[in-house]
Formats: sequence, structure tokens, C-alpha cells
Amino acid sequence: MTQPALDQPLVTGLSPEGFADRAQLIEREIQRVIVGQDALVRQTLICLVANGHALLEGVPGLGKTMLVRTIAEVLDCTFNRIQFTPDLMPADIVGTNVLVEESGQRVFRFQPGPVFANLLLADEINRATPKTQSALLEAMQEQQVSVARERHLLSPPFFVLATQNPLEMEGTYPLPEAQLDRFLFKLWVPFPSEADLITIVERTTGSTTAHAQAVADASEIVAMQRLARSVPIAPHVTAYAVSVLAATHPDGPRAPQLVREYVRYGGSPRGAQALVLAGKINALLEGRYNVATDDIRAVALPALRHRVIRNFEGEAEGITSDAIVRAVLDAVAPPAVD
Amino acid sequence: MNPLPPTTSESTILQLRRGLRPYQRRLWLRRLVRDGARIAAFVAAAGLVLAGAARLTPLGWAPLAAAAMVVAGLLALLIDAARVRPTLAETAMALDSEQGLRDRLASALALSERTPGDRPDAESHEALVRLQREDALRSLAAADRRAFRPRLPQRALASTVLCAALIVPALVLPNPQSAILAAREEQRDAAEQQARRLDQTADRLGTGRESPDPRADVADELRRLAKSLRDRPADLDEHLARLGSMEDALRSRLEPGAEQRAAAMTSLARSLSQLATGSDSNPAGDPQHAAEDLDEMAEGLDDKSPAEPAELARRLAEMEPVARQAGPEARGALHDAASALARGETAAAREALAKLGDALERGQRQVDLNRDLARAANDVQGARRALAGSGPTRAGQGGQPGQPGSSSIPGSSAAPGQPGSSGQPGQPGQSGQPGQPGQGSQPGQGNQPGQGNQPGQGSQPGQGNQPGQGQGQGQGSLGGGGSNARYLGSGTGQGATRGPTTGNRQFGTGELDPVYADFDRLGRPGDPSYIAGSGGDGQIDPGSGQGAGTGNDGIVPYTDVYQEFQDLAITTLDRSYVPVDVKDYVRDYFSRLGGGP
Repeated sequence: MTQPALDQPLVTGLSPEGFADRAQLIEREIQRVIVGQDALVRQTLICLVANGHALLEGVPGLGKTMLVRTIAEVLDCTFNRIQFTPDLMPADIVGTNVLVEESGQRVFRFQPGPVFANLLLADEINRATPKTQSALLEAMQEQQVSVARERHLLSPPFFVLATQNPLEMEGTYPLPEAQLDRFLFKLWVPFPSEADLITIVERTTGSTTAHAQAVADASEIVAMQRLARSVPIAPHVTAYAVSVLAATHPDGPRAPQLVREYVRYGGSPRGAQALVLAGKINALLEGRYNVATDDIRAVALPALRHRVIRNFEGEAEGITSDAIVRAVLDAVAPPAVD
Repeated sequence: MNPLPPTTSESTILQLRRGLRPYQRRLWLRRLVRDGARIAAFVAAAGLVLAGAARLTPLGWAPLAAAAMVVAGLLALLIDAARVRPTLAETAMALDSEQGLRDRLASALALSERTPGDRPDAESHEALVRLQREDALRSLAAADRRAFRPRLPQRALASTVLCAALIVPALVLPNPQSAILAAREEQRDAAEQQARRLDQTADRLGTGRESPDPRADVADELRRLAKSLRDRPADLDEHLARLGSMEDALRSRLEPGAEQRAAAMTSLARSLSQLATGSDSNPAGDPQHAAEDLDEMAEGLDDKSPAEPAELARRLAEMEPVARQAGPEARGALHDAASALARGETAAAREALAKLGDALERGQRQVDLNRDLARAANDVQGARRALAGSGPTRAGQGGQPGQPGSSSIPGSSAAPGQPGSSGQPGQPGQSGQPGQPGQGSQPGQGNQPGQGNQPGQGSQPGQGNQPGQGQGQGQGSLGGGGSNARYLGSGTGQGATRGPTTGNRQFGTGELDPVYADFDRLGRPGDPSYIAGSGGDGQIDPGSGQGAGTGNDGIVPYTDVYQEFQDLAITTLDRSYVPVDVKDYVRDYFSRLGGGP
């Protein structure tokens, strides 16, 4: 068996260096449009490469839609946007069979909904009814939709970026915990710094508007996804990821006091999967072939913050999920040898 | 068979392992230094506590404990050295952490031990693993060769230095507990020494003897005492009490007149042998020898002329006073033999002479027993004294002033004759406050029976020119120095025998020391039972015989008044309430006297 050189493509068709280069290229292109928000861009990319979905939460006007649109441009993928409203129906998302005339005969033809795209922006997902939410969430989980007993596969990559507004909660339908769990990451869109804000204003108020170029296509994203899953991970790193997840449970042996007092339920096994998979991608993005415990820690916040369910006291006292996850990371130190 | 050549990937792993070896040793050294410093701090702290405690309370085992701490520390370090030897995986993990290698080395080693299995992406996974190993190898090559520098834990180091700095003065400055420890050591040595002494005494007493011989029981008790001394040398008061108790028990078993009796038996045996053989064949006065001589004499009675038994009877009768001193059994047998010979009853005389011989032998055995017990008592006393002297110094109360010595009633001579010999000087008591000068100059009066511990007994009135024999026993006074002295004054003949007095001189070590009673029954300074005496400087005033014995018309032979005394005694017994055993004793007394000449 010949041993591939570092610059040779692997079986997936992409070398680790190629992965890193491609990822950097994508990030750089996105950052031509999205000012600041480097961490957000990186985490969104991780979600995309992990074949997961991201839930973005932030106040209006921070560029959430712009981010998704830019990603679609950079990736040269199909992109759809759904503005969730209370009267949105499931068929409006997944599509429906419509009666059409073909050769003088009336037949039902499936009319795909907006979910049939590589990138889907589910804007203000919490404004739709649970029934409609669940229709999208089924597609997210199964990568397919079923209409009139007929399955319709979604073409990879299928990446959903859902947004929700933490303000204006009246008349919304918060996502239940089971559906939150299906998002790989929950990303918090921070308010840009003043310097970034100046750049944003300058870029968007001039005569020309910045546009991103397509630097990758769907097949390359799929190749990156496959490569990411092949990254080896040492047992002690996997064990560390599991320890971190176990510490989010109030009855866990290493749970910190904050978890014991203010957490009702900890993360599900999907949380550990998210930690490991995102850790692998983070390692590749940093040019390594192995997952380090630092990778796990780097992705712990977006991977666990929506999986930690606070109890009443925690919500009443304003204990944020981020504070809880940070307490967990403080309590569960990486395996160290002195 | 040569192993298969390693593949490139395996070669990478081998290089990785080889490259980790120096780091493994350095990490081991770092751990040893770290743990060694902690152990040293612990040992130093424990040593400081021990040194402090040793200055507050006497700890004889402190040096041993300190040495044990050091040894335990070294042992702990050895065990720790084996325990903390890092594996290659640990070394890789530590190097990852120290050099910021992001788990490259640990992952490479861990992944080398796993097989890809049948995962669908096994090929790409293996490719990534190989890449990861090469990446790890490059990282290892770039790692700092001086990684894992030994680091002394600052807190442990500071504790060690501080404790060591405090231990030095604790060891250098004089320790007030040293004197106590030395005293305890001395006490322990003394206990061991006295235990050996008691064992020797027990061996001497118990060898060849079994119960019911009292010496065997005494030997057993002495051995128990010796064992107790060895096992618990610190229990001084208990041992002193046990020794004192045993000494008292031994003394109580001693027959006070045993030496008198021994002397009388010796004299009697010598005289009997001389009578039996016609020569001084038994100058040592061996009772057994005398018994054999008596046997021979008894066998030859049939061959003697009719006048000879009478002469033998007369000479035997002359020995009766001495026989009385030798004991009632000997005296009775002698009397029976003399009577039988006087009556010409050869068979009865032969039987009586045999009884006399047996009585002499039994008496000698009794004397031997008494001497053994006395010697044992002296040994116990000596052990107690030595043990008391070895104990820690105690503040004692002021001693009571000694009583002036007063002479006992001097020995009396029963019959005029030779001047009485001087009484035995009293043995001075132990030093204490000087006692009053002894007053023991009351002259003996030859015509009165001496009274000491026992009344002197004039056995026979003086007869003509023949010297009478009388032995009196004088008792010395209480001497100074808290001693209780007893004197055995003996004198023969008539004269103003001046009884011994007490003296306050140091204890003499004459050859008669074991015979006479101790002078320091109340102990010596430091002994719980010690009572110090006070008074003047005593002096020994040995008795001296003065004047020639003279016949005393005032002496009435008891045979003349025997009947009158007996009647009066019987009448008294009949009229008064007297215990039965006393009545028997009195009747026996008169019945024995009634058999005399």
C-alpha cells in the first residue's frame, strides 16, 4: 500500500491540507462580506462540514440572513429562505402534490418546497407553529421529506440555518428541547465591535457592495464532510468529551455546583457526538490530524448551550446556559500528567 | 526467526517510542524530585514534632523513632520511585501538555494500539493515522530536549528548611528530659541486675527441691518476681512493695532462735561424738556424724561393764542443758537415753540413742532450711535496697528523729562461773539523722535470767566449782537512722554483761551480717518507706564480761518447787477460763519438766 504524501489527495478526494486551504478560502471569502464575527463564521463552517445544522440567535440586524446568503454564494449551492410565520404550513416548507395536466391527463405531481435546497435559511423559526417546525426538523434529521407516502431525498449537502430572535417573544413558539437537540450548534450572534461596525457602515453605504465569489461547490463540501469524519481521535480525547457531557447532568459525578443547582437535564448523547465531530473539524481547520482536548473545549459552548436545560431556579436567577457550560469546562479539566 | 521488518508506519511508531525514552527518564526524575521533596518535608515535620515532644516528655524511643522516620521516608521514596515511573503514554501526554503539542504524541501512541476495524472509511482513516504519526514525530523532534526540568515544590522545600532549622536547636540545646531518661535507664539496668540476682537465689533455693519444700515455693515466687522486674522495670513502687512483702514473708518464717539452736546442736553433736568415741572425732559438730557415733555406741552397750552405762547416763545428763537448747525432741531423747542407761535398760537406751541421732539430723535440716530462707530474705532485701536506690529521686519528708538506743536486758548467766563474753555488737543503722547515743550499759546480772527477745534460760543452777552455762539473748535498742536493729547478745558465765547498744555507724559487712537482722527495714533515702532518724552520734558499746561467777544461794533448783508450781498451775487452769490449747500447752510443759531429774 502506498503511503499518501501530505499533499496527496486522500481517498475522499481531499487532502487534509486541501481541507484546511479550502476552509480558509471559504472563510476569507465570507469575511469579505461579513465583517467581524470570525468565530461565528468558523462555527457556522464547522456546522456545515459536520453535516449538521445551526440555530442562530441574535437580535435583528446583526447579519444573520446576510451570513447565510453569503455562505450560499461562496459555496455555489442552492439556497432558499423561509420566513417563518404563524400561518406557515408544513406543505409550504416541504412541498405538496399538485394536480397538473400532462398529455391530457390530470396527474398529481410533487411540487418541492423550499426545503429542497443545499442551504436553507429558516428565519425566525420560533414564529411558526410546532407542527410546521416539526416538518422542517424531520427534514433536518432524516435528510428527506415524505409527501403522500412518497419519500423525497434532499440532495447533500443539506444545511439549515435557523434563526430566532430573543426579543419579541410574544406570539412565538419556542422550540422544544427534543427539536433543539437536532441542531448541532446553537450560535450566538454577537453585536459587532465599534471598529467592525465602522467597517460595516463603510462597506454597505458606499456605491459598491461587496460580493463574495463562489470558491467551493457542493461536492467539495461533501468531500470535506467525509474527510472530517475520518479524522482519528484518541480514546482519552473521546473520554474527555464524554466526561464533559456527563458533567452537564446534575447527578453526574463531576458535575459542578452550578449544574447541580440550576440544571434540570443535561446534554443528550447527541451532545457528545457533536463535541467529537465538531472537534475533528476544528482540528482539521487548525491543520492537525488528531483531535485534541482543546478542540473539544473550543466547540463545547455552541455544542452544549442549547442542550443544557435549566430548571426554574436557574431561569429565575438568570443563570445562562453559557455560564453553566463554562462551569462544566472548569470542573472537567483535560487529562493531565505532571 | 527474525521478526518481520516493520512497515513505515510501524517504524514511525518505533521512532516515536524511542524518541520519548529520554523524556520518560526526565519525567521520572522530575516526579522523584517532587515526591522526594514532599517526603522530606513530611519527615522533617514529623522529626520536628518528635524533637519538640522529646523536650516536653521523656521519650526513650525518640532516637529510634527518628531513625525509623528517616528509614520510612527512604522506603516511601523507593516505593514511590516504582510507583511514579511514567509510561510512554504518560510521557507523551505530559510532553504534549508541557510543549503545547495539542495531544499529538499521546494520540499517535494511543492510535497505534487500535485497529481500524471494519469501518467504511478505514482506508482514509488509516491514511490520516499515518499522517498523524508523522506529524507527531515532527513535533517530537521539535520539542525542547530540556523538557521536564526537575522542579522543587516551593512549599515542601520551605517546610523542609524551616523544620530543619528548628530541629537543629532542639537537638543541640540541653534536653531536660535526658536526666529522666538516664535515671530510667539506670532503673532498667538495676531491675535487670536484681532480676538476675533473684534468679540466682531462686536457682540456689530450688535446685533439686520440689514442693512441699518451702524453698521450692520461694524459688518459684522469686522467679516470678524476676520476670516482673524484667517485664515492667518502670513499676518501681509495685516491685518494691512486692519485694518488701516477700521479704517480710520470709522473715516471718524464720525461727528466731535457729542459730542458737544450731550452735547448741553443734555443741551437742560434738559432745555426743566425744562421749561415744572417747575422742574429739567430730570437731565440727556434724549431727550426722554424731548420729553414726551414737549408733555405734548403742550397738556396743551390751559389751560394757555394769558401771559404764551409769557413767554414760551421768555424762548424758550433763549434756541436757545443751540438749534443751537444741530442741525439745533432742532433749527428750537425751533424757530418755540417760534414764534408760541409768536404769540399765540397754534396749530402751539403744532406742533412745537412735531417736537422739534422728533428732539431731532433723534439727540440722531445719537449721539448713532456716539458713536458706534467711539468706534468701537477705538477697531480697538487697535487691529491694538496690532497686530503691536506682529509682528517680523523690522529694522525701523529713525523717523522724531516731530514738535513743537502749540496751536490752543483757544476757544472763544462769550459773556462776566464767565471765560472760561480750554480747555481739549491734549493727549500726543506715545513715540518717544521727541518733541519740546508745545507752546500753546496763550491766547484766548473773543471778537473773536474761531477757531479750526471748528470756534467757538458766538451765541449771551453778554447782560448786563447775561453771554453769547460760545463754541470754539481748535485744538491742532501736538505733538511729530509722533502722530497727536486733542484737543477739550471748554470754556465758557470770558477770555484769553490758548489753549491746545501738550505733549509728555505717552498716558493717562482717561475716555475720547475713545472720543478724537488717538495720534498714524502713528503707533508705528515696525509699517510700524510709523514715529518717535524727539524734546524736551513737556508739557501739560492746558488752564485756566482768567479774567471776559466784554461787548464788538464791537459786532454787526447780525440782524443789516443781510440784508447787504444777499444783498452782493446774488449779489456775481449772478455775479460770483458759483456752484449751493453752491448757494443753501448760500441761505439756509441766509433764515435760516432770520427766527431768
